[in-house]
Amino acid sequence: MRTLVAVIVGRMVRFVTRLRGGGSALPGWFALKIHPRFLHDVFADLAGRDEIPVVVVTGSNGKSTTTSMIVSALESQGHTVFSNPSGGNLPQGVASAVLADVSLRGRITATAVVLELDEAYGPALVDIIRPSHAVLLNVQVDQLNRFFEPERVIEMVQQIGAAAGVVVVNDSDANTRAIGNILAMQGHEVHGFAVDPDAAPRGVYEAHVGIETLTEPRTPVSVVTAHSVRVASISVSGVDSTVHLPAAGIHYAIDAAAALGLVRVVCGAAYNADAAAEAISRSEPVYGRGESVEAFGDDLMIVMMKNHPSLQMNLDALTEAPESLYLAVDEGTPDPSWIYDIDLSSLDHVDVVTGTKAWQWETRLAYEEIPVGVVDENPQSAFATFGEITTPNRQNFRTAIVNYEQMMDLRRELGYMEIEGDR
Amino acid sequence: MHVFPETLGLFGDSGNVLALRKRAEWRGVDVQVVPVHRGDDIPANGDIYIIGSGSSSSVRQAAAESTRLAGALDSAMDNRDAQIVAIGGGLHLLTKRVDWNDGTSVRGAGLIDGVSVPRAQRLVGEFVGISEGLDVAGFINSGHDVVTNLEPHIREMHGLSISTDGVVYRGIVGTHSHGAYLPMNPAIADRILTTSLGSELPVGGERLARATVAANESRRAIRDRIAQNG
Repeated sequence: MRTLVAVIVGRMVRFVTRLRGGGSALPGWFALKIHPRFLHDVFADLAGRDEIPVVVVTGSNGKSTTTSMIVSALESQGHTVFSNPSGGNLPQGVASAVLADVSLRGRITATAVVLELDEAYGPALVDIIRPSHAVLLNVQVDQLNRFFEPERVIEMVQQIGAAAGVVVVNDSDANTRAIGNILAMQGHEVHGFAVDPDAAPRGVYEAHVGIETLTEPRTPVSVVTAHSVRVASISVSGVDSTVHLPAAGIHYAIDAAAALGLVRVVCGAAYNADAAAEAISRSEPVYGRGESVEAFGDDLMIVMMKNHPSLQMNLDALTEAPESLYLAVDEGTPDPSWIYDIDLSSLDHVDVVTGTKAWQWETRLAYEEIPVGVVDENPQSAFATFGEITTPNRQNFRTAIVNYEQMMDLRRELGYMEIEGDR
Repeated sequence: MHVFPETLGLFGDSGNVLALRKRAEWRGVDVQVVPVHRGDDIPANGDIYIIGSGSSSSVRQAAAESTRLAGALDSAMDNRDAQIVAIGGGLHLLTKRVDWNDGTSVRGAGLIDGVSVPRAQRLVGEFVGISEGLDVAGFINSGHDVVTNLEPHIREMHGLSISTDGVVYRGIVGTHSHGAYLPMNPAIADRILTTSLGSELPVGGERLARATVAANESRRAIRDRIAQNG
């Protein structure tokens, strides 16, 4: 009965919040208030149905993209997939997503479940979700104001992996490789995915905490064998596929290898390599991650600066210096000290720097002797200035490097009304 | 001398090296930056040593070199009036001992008469303060503190629950101000360069002025935020 009430009230809240164009976590919050064990019941029911794989995806970077790729690839194999949309990876977000998909009795109707999990909330959530499969993407230096030290993230990611019987780990990242070795010793079925060092000459930017493992390397289920801008060759169980990536960069190729590896493991011998590669090739960039929006009558490419590894990999992927460049960072990045670790050689100038941390970026660029046109802490006037003083010429698009919060503001400002979590 | 850049360089520590180098070069002063890797001989002929921050496991790894580090730095300070900039974990490494909550500890270089202990509550956030008459600002993200009777590097702090931070002793300037402290506090960087050269710094040009203005504005923005948040 409580499930029924939770679902109905949650759906009503969902209806109202969607009319107002916001609040994707609110319906889940209401459902959990009414029935605190709402998620427990939904997932306990799933755990009783062995034929339904329940996959969780975690790591410092690439969660949203990989989750989206896994969903597409599983669908290409005939599955009906339930997933939490990008960004909805906290308990309320998962509950909100569940509300949209369950029957009134709280039963998920899909044939496969794929959930993106935040590293910090994941260890508690897996007790509820009871995953059959976990994908551990990487442990990189990220949000130290929140996580303090990479060591803590390693523990969290390991706890998430330990909740699943089958674990798929990034063998090119020393941290997730070590976690995989430990879990294998504890009796978990562990598979690896990897990138050929020749395809990633600058490495994978894992956090260095001195983890060394002596175990013999696994033969990975999937390997990125070659990569160029937006195309990658990925070998899955010895079968080569060509995959077109949603945006440029080796990190997207590694995400694709993770997704194909997982789907190969889930589907076994029935795996259809061509269909899976084609499905991933068709996938769009996930919300703000390398996506193009329209601004000032031209395309604006959004590059996210979430943390050092993700920004560096996005900069590494640039084929030439951006002609028209906007840079915005605010309090969503409380301590941008890590920008001193970024190799900025792929930039030759910045047109406009903005956000509350604008002067910290200007300081960084000054020490690198990279010219800057305008510094204006107010993003609204700064963005208008950007439109006025730049004209796409050599490149037929403009580029914006923004942190997550500025990406959200920018999309809203440009009239992209759907909120993260609705796609 | 950039000490253990791979091990102690968690969050922008290379910025401190960059700020010192650029602010000298822009004034026509030649600078040679020498990275000192773990396991290498630690040269005792440096003018400025920079030791950056790191996570617990990095500090444990670096502590294996404590004795050799102590010898080289002690000799450089005695014989060459060398200065040492030590940030976060790098500062802890220079104390006598670093303790952790799990009861383990490692021996430090012992150049600072004090020990490093876990804080009751981790400090995370922006601050402003005064260092020998100069206004400073930065971001601290630290689970450890140094217990010592030596003079602090920063006083009159606002923004966090502490009123002083760091250590000044012999040639050592130590602080918990995260990673990139010197780029945003050019007056501190210039003071270190002046001491090192033993004379007033030559005048710099536009590039120096641009970096100084940007750094001053960065500190002003932090000061405004702290004032706004009460």
